[in-house]
Amino acid sequence: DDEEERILGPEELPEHACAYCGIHNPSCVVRCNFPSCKKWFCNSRGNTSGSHIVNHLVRAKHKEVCLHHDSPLGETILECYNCTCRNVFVLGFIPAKTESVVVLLCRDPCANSSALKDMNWDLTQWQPLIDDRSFLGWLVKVPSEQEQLRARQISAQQINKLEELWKSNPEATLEDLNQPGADDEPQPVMLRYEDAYSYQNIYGPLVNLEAEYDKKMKESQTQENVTIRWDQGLNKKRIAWFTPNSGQELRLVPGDELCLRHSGDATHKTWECVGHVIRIQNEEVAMELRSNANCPTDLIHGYSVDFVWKSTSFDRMQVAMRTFAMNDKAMTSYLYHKLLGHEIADQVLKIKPPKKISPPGLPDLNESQKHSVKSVLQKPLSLIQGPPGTGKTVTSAAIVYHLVQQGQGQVLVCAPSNVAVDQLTEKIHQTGLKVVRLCAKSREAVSSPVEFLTLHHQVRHLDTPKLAELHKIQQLKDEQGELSAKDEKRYRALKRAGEYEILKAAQVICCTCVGGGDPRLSKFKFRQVLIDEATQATEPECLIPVVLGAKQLILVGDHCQLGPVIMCKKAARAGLSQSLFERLVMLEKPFSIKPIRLQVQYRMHPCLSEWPSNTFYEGTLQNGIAMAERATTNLKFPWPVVEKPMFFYNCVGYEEISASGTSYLNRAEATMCETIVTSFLKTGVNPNQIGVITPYEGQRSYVISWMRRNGSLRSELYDDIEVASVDSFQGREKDFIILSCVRSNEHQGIGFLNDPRRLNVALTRARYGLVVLGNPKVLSKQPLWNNLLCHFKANCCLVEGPLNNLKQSMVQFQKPRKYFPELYQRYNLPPSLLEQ
Amino acid sequence: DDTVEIKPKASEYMACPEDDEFTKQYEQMLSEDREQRKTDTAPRPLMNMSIPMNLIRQTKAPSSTSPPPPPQEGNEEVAFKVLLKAKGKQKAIDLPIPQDSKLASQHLKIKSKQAQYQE
Ligand SMILES: [Zn+2]
Ligand SMILES: [Zn+2]
Ligand SMILES: [Zn+2]
Repeated sequence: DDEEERILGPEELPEHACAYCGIHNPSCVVRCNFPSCKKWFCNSRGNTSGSHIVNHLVRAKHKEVCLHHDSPLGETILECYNCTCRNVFVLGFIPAKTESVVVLLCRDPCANSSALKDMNWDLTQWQPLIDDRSFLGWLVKVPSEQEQLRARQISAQQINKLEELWKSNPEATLEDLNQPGADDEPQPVMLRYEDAYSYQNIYGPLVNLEAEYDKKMKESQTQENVTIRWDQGLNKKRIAWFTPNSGQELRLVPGDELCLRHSGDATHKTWECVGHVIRIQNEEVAMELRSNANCPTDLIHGYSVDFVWKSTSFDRMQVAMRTFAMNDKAMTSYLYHKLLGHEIADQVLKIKPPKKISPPGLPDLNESQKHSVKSVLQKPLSLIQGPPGTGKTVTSAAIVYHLVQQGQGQVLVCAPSNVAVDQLTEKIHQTGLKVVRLCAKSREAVSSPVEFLTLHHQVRHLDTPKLAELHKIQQLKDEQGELSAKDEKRYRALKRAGEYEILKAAQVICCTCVGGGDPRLSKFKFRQVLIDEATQATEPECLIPVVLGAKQLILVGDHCQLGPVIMCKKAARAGLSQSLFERLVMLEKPFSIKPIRLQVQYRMHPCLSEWPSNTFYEGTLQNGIAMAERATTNLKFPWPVVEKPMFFYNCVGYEEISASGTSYLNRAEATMCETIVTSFLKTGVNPNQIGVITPYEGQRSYVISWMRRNGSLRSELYDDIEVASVDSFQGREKDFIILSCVRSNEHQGIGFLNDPRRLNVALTRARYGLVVLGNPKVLSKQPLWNNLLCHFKANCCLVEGPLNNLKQSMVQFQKPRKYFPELYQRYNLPPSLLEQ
Repeated sequence: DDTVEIKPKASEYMACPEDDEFTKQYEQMLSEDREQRKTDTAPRPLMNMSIPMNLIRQTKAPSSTSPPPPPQEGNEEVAFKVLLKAKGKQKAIDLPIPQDSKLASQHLKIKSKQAQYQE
């Protein structure tokens, strides 16, 4: 059950791959026979004037070669038939005069031997083995154009450098040429890549940097002197509840592996056990232990908790990139070239367009949703942009429904986050398709809204004759806790077989992008892949589900909202934080792909969607809901303009560095936030309808504790209000949102708030009403915020004073500073913003 | 429907000093090695250079009755045999050679002349 995941061996090129370009067709390669070399090379020229094998022989001054054993002549050292001279530069073929026979002879002296003239050989027809700087094509085949395009592109300069490197290090590879030194900035990402090898050369080091950072950060979270509250799960496994020591920000998520230790005392031996986080509730962490054996449940104090870092997700990204480069079955060559940004003729898939677009079990789609479903089905690669509240998930589910109807095998559906995968799984299930949700083994004990669709649930509860024996042995395991070695082996085999059967019977398999690399999927091939929230996945992460044989790929996301979260600044600066979706949009024509945009939003009161639509979506966002459906007129909340449930509150406070020293807080905004929350609660709004968003962790924890201590209502009411970062609110909504901007200083700028995408996300979470708390004087220096403030002012919604007596604010805006136009151009912001 | 049109790119020649250096070295190596063989290597006695007709015919017999291989992309191939010595033992291995290669085209020309003579 707890068997360690075995990372599948990374995709490797066979030994006989060309040491320059990686081509490994046995008919196209020869081995250099120099004793200390023995490297393989192909007979293609790439963009040099000699074939790779000839390039090598000349530059290294090696002269002997051997054919591959799977080539037509078999494993053969090329040598003179008569004198066994092996210098390929003097060898050539002569045909017989009458028979169709050829023989390899050195030109001097053998082929010029007078004795030969009288025999049946035609000396006049001697053909050198190497002609025009490449081997005779009928002896060593020239790889096809297709093969050459799929290979590593190597220039004469690189060949030259590599040959130099081999003189000191014969094991060196082309990758070693590009390795940055330990202190160097990594190579930044590009828009287009010559081949998947150079792609891997850029992204491989970036993934390593992020992995190192992640490891360091997670392993530094050791907790000493922890008190445990013991509990037991329904599966009879021990659960240890503990509250991490305060003052230390712990970054834990369900599924993380921990190690719980106790050094023992007079009556207890030293003990330790690993387990997984299964829940986090009110800052308390629940850890399910892997084994109940010798668990000292009578001890509660003095434990230590270590974080066990796993490289699994990073390993899977590296494997995916290698597969991308080396396995030509990883995806169609169309997708291969398209993802690298190559020019390639458009392709249309021959499919019958469905008569009815809206699938069963889901609400009818609107016109823009229908349009995107229709156009996606015929294209091998498409992007769907779903602005906030436009029904991205329903549209994705509809696409998956029609992909299945095409009968091209199982469809793989992924998203970077578990939450998104669960949501989509549920919608796909509603269309009546047979869907299986594959969870990481470490998350099997984490509760999920689609539990009944998960593989681990089905393998336990599906009642089929094949699973009967597994269920029996599972029962035994549950009762006894452990199995004999023999039974355990049998149990694992049965479980694997059961899982395979269930996966095979599914029409759709849903998992996270990283889950696409699960060994349980290694026998599967997926022609059609849909990735939701694709703009929040890094490129290597996105690649994991794609290299399982994709022919048709659909990326759904919104590059005008936040991208993937990268912890390592070096890696983020080099571009790891840019998604594949975004790169495909940013490519210059004709390589770029225009996303199909969903255009009707069903979330926000029309007055709340107006500015984001104009600013981020060229005004194309239409409202699918009427003002009446979002009316708050019966609410006795003091909106400055009754029919416009929004305002910007001029809050003149000061930002302070938070206790951790790494974040900011703003007391004035926290105080105002509590006043507004209390007012909402008093008018009858439920705590779970309200969300407080702030970009800073310091302000987040300050607002929570301030409301708890100073709120005029019962403190439990405030505890139920979600206070979170902008980033963690992405993809979600609340009826009422209070945004606390925090930054208020004369000279330091506004940090996080600079990112237009973060502003877009922050402003588009509310369904009914929005309050922004900030310092207009400071924020207005930035053109985008300046524009937003003008919008509030024009709508008479820029206010100040006590909440029960709000007045129009007459605050003067500052002239915006010059800003980075390229950042705006990336998000297609209107030119008016660039000129300011 | 997986096949796609790809604009050729991989095999486009790109001139650069490194490649010029290579071609120079290549010419040098070729001429040096050939000159050296001419002057330094004494003629060797020919060892059994006769065509082993038994080997040729043995494997050729069936192919004469079976139809020739289908033409590949407009370029037909000629069924040749390569005479090899594997561990001192003579072997003749089938190797189709494209008709338009120098070796095959010359050979065919000569053979057809011979055939005319004989008629
Ligand atoms: Zn060599
Ligand atoms: Zn090569
Ligand atoms: Zn010889």
